[in-house]
Amino acid sequence: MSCPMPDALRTLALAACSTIAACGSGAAPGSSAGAEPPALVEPLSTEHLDPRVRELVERELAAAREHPEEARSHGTLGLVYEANSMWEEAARSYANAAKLAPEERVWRLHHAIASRVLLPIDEVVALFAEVARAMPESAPAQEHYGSVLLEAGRAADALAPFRTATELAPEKPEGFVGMGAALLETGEAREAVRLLEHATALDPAYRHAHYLLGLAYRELGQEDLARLELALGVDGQKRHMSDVLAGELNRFSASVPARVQRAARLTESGDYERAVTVLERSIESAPRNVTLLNNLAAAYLNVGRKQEALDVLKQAEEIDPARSLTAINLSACYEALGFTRRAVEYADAAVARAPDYAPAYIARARVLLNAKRPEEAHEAARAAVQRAPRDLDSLRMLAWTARELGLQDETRAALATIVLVAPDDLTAQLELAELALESGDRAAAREALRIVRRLAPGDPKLEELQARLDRP
Amino acid sequence: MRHGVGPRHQRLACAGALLLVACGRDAPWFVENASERGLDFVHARGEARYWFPEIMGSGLALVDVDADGDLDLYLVQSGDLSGPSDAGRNRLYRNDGRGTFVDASAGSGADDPGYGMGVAVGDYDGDGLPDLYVTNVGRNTLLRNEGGGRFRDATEEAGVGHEAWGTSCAFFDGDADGDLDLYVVNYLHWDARNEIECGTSLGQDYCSPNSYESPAQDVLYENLGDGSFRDVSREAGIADVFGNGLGVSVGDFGGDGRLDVYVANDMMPNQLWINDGGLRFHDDALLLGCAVNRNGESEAGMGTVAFDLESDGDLDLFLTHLRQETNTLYVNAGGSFSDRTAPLGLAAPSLRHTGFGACFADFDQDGVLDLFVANGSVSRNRPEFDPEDPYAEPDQLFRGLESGGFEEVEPRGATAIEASRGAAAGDLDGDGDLDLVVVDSNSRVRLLENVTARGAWLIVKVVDEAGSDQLGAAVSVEAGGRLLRRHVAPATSYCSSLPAEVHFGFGNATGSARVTVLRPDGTRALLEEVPLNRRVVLTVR
Repeated sequence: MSCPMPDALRTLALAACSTIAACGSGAAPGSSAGAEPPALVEPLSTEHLDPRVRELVERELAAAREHPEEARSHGTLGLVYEANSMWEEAARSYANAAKLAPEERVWRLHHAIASRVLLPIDEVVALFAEVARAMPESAPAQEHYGSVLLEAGRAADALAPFRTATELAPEKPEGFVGMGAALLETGEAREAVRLLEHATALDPAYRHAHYLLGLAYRELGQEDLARLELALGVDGQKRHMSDVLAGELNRFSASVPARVQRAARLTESGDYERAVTVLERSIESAPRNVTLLNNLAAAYLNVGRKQEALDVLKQAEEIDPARSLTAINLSACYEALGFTRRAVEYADAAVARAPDYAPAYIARARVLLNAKRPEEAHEAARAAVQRAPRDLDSLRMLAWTARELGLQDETRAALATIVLVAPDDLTAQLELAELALESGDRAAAREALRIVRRLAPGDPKLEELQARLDRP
Repeated sequence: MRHGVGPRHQRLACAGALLLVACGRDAPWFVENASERGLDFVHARGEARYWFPEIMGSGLALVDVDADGDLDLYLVQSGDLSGPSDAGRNRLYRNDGRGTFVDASAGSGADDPGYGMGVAVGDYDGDGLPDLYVTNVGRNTLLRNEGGGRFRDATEEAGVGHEAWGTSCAFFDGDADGDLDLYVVNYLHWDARNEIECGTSLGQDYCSPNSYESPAQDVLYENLGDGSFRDVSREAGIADVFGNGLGVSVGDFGGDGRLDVYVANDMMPNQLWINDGGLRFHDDALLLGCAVNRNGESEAGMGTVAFDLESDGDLDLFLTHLRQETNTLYVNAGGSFSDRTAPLGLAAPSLRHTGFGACFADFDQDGVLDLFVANGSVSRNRPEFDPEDPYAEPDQLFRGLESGGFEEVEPRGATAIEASRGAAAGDLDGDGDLDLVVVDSNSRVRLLENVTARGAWLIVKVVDEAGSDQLGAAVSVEAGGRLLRRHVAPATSYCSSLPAEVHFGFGNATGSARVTVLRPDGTRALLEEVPLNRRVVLTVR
């Protein structure tokens, strides 16, 4: 059934779609010169819009009004809308940009990307087919086209654009992963394995590729390899080849959740200062958002601004004195400031506020361990694992506290669970190997080191442990 | 109820009328007539404080509680998160035999006041009457059927008053000892004191389950055969794993004669608990290919259905998911699964919706299973579908094709735009076709009366000598040159329970059918020359 649905959203999206189609790939660059520029796309509704997003949109709209005749103005607006999941506005803005500057084909690619969740799959495929034809030299365009064909159930058709993507960008894994996925669908598991092994070699951290490789091994009956690769790949995110606009898109993520996510990404990559800046700017528009205040406090702690962290957490505590998360962070903050008694008090408060919440017990275990009260810390870690038996933080805390008390079996069991849940946890694998060596279990040590070698062949600890294992 | 134009005829007519009407549109398959049929249930989620349970809705059961041969209706009410209240009482509607319902809640003992989520149906005490197990945000309740539409709270004596956030649940004979054990799915550890503030670019909203970082363990109860149960979650291996569990399906997925349990988790990998015998299980969903989608991504599992898509004797799986994810159909081949959602035409149409309840049933009785999906968002939509309700989304109906795929049926007759949650299909008016009941969050219950079915049909109910439904039995029917298989698996959809009987459509077949029943314990029963177009009750020994 491809008859269009008569709702407002679809009508808008289709209008945008047909505008571009009218332009066609053969339109001469600048052919719209002299014509009235298209109207700038305003938000469909601002009623529920996050204040930060509204502010950004208003600012960029004002800037765009200076030059409504320029494709860049409409395209930038498209980026603002796309970065904040305002797909209808994004699609229409990109359509305007593409109309004004048909030679800037990246707007057409992003028009198709924004339309992806708005249109029926047949129309999405048609849009991307046109983009792929217009951008034969663009690996991202080919890779996107292959992906939508796969999504439409046309695996055999998807092979060609994926292959083109690999030829255009042989250093990137996404094209090989797409080909591997398509070959899995068409029943060619052996060839899929070859391509997916290549993709995982290009980017060992790309979990989605590992998952598909696991499926391919499974098809070939190689169950052990399949288990490992599936576990390495589970819960990875499928990604697309990034294009020239990826950086700008990231910059325009303005909603509170998007900013918290961005700050988390910055924190993960070690860029703590920028994470603080992102969160400080977010607080301006949501000063009573307790979650945001907690995130900002954590960011302050990461850069050593302990007193500011404490001030922010006190604000959060005042706004909502029942929040367990605030008590957990207050505990960490007081501990960092050297006030152990207060740190323990807040860890206890966290547990009292949320007796089923594992992170509260982890906080308690951490502060007690640092206060040289390992038995109580161990008890708290056990309570955390009881509540979240496969939570990695809980299990790590259990392993640490058990090790502190010399409880080797319990340490080993906790580490074994960690690597079962996350076989790519290098620290746990190394600790398991070390523990196995200490207890004389050479077979277990060998197995752990085999996995470490696959995960991080250059790790210096690996060579040290291997040398210990090789000693007679 | 056969006055609609059948879809096959409609499509033929369409070819000739191409210039006059938009092609590919059907006459509605259903008409909504809950009020006319006596159903006045209005789901209440309580004061909107953005507390997580408010958005999760509830389920229902289609069950013959009074053993009079027609399907009664048990509707689970949410209520008030401040505590049990009259507003939160579940409702029992008894069927008058012609598809009209009478509210029989008062004095029935079935009107549990907890903040309700789901319901399982099974005769746990073997007296021939179906009992109810109700999950709540809080203490769950076991309602023993005393006969005549009366129930008694047997929770304490049975020892099954688990206090958590229970969702879907299932009775099944996990240890093949002849009585029904009980699997209870839990969502997450929630407490109003732990509530957190979340939002999107559209402002404050309900949080995602992972925001709470507090997934729960499920519970497995062993039936001790004396009216009581024992929590065996730890020994069984169930307690080793946690998840944001919402859906459950039970069936023999590996074909070894034991009933396995599949759990749909919200934003975490799903579990397939392979039954090792003696109520011991291990989770092998990842290797078997049904833990995550074909990209390796956990999806927001809500409802799940175990069904035999190709009538090849094994159980396939379907899961409903969040907007911008696809619903997912895992096809079983020899006990391992492949995500075949996109090739079967179900991926793209689901991307714009959040699915909860789901029913695979042959609504048009052409011999091919169709699909109904109850949709409703858990986070604010822009005013796309319904300007008044940011969580409303249109339900969807898919016609099963002989080629094995699906295509969406439009217009969506009576499949309204609401924030739908639980859904179940059954023959409510005794005319042989399958109607639907849908529970919408904070709205009136809907009864969708089937007006499209035209083909031949057969309904088979399998009971033992005591009259207890044989959950887990596989029923094969040959008629009109076609062999179809269904499984008696009432625990399905989202927090809901189907009738413990199976329905077959046979298109234009005439004459009689050959019915084979295979129970999980391997015993078979055969019935020859069964006339079509009737409901048969098969007693197995």
